[in-house]
Amino acid sequence: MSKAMFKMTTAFADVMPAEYVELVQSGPFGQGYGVADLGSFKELIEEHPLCAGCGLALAVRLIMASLPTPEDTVVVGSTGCSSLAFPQIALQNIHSLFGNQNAVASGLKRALKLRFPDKHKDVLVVAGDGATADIGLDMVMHSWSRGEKLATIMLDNEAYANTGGQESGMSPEGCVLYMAPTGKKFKKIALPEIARESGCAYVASVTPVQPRKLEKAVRRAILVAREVGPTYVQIFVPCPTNFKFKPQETLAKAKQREKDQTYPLREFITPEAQAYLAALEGGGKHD
Amino acid sequence: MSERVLMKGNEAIAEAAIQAGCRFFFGYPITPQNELPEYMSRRMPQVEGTFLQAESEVAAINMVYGAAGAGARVMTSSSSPGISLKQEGISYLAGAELPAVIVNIVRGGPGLGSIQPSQGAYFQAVKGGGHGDYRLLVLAPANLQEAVDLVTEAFDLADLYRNPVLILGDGLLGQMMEPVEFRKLPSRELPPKTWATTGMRHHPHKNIINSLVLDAPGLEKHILHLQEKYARMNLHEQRAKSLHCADAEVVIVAYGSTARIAKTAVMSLRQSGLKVGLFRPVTLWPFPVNTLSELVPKVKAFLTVEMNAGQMVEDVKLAVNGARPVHFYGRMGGMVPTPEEISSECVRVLGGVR
Repeated sequence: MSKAMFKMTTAFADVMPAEYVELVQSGPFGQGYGVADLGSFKELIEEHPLCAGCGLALAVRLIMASLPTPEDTVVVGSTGCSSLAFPQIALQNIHSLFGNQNAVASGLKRALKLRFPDKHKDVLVVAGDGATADIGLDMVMHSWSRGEKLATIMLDNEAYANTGGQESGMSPEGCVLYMAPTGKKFKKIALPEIARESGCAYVASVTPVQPRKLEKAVRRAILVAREVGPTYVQIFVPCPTNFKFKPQETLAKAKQREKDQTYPLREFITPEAQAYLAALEGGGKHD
Repeated sequence: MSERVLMKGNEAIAEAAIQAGCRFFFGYPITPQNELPEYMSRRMPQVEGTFLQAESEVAAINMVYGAAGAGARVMTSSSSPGISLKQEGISYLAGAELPAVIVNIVRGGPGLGSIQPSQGAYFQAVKGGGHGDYRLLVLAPANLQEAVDLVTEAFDLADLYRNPVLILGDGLLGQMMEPVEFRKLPSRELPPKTWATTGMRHHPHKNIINSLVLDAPGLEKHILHLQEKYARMNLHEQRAKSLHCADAEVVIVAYGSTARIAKTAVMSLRQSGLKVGLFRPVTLWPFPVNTLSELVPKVKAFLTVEMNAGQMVEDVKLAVNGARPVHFYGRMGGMVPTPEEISSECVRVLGGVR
């Protein structure tokens, strides 16, 4: 996808949908916008069918505003709440079998590399905790072990939210959910540590409480995945619908978990990724 | 429990399994069957059974394989895309001759499709779905009482034939509420599970559960043994229900939820004096060829109604074998036919046969 594609043929300008015209005239393509610019440009996501107060929707909005080059980004999603939002996003997107996202992304990334050898085509995997840590864990881990140059983002709402709120491997121990009426019996899967040990060059866990921190993690993940190797970002996205709190409490819930260390924020960077980021960030274009 | 209780389809199926002695359930979330594993997660601990939410459908079906290997009564449930994931395991269960009950609360497909009711999994259920020459016993309830009774029957049949049994419902049956009674059905004489891998202390002979037979003559012999078993199922287990078929000119063939809707159409057409009947297969495999072909000389035409693009109609055509016209009416993708649609289709077919 090149920036040239986002130009309109003058003769058709008057029949193009208003949203499209807006996207061409004031969208983020080729602009280098970030979360600090939110509110001053046409965002990639305009509307979505997710619940009021959905932490995942907020995270998706922030991720979309954090892409270094949205015009060269393809998102691979998976089944779950996020898959309901992706059709509303002005980016190219592949949705496949539940849990197979990192395998699909591996094929896509390799094909894009071959077709566009001189360009960075960012393949961004955005999936939920069930897709990433449960049903898709084999394909996620093997994409890391193979060193696939993908950025994998988990939107962690700690449950199967789209099917009504069952436990997932990422639900905290003791958490009462459907199919766990007396509380979950085993610990939250330590995926950031697994990612680090499986070959990820950059790993971070963040929450939407600090948008700039989230932006930094997403950008670093995408940039490191271009040159160094696989990367993983885990974003805590509280779910008011299934955890039965008010929509206005979403950020407070995330803040509380940050504060009491039950959702520890971390960042692992390999020396190679560190050197690469230092060279890039020294240039000062992003961050 | 013998009084009638009002229950949701998914929960009634789960309770029926408990009543049938099922103590192991391995599940995974997928709409529209979540209430079934959710009920099991609450109920299994009360009867000292095991409920486990697996990390995927593939894991769940292989947990079933393991528990069945120990000789336990075991169940799993899912909905169409999840059943597709379980197909490999189902083929292995059939190959290794392990009894298990699998519930498919069918939704629209292909792919992730929709979450509304559909019968698009008929081919997958009765023609294989997984690889190899195997058959499942496929039971298709049309109401919740029948679903409850068929669950008990399913466990017995699975143990009797050492074969996986599939209960084919749909989103409508799974989500609806009806009064049900958990009644004691006449129990069958079931063979002891001397084949189970429970350790040499219990069965001093060498028990091996396996579906790999590398030498060709050996595998052919195993497949012939399976075919002989399927022939016995075909002989003894065909089941169907008929309504107003004795003097019918046109017989509607429909199963599951669609048959209920077709029944409403038949009743209203009968009131208008039209000679229409309903033939409802209860076993989809073995397909009730014997009772259906008995109808052939008496009727002028058949109308198959399904919530798919035309799947069971192929088996109806095979049974009718060209002796009468077989028409088809179907809705797809989660769309449910109305009695009026079926009635007008019937009238159209009747117009043609007169």
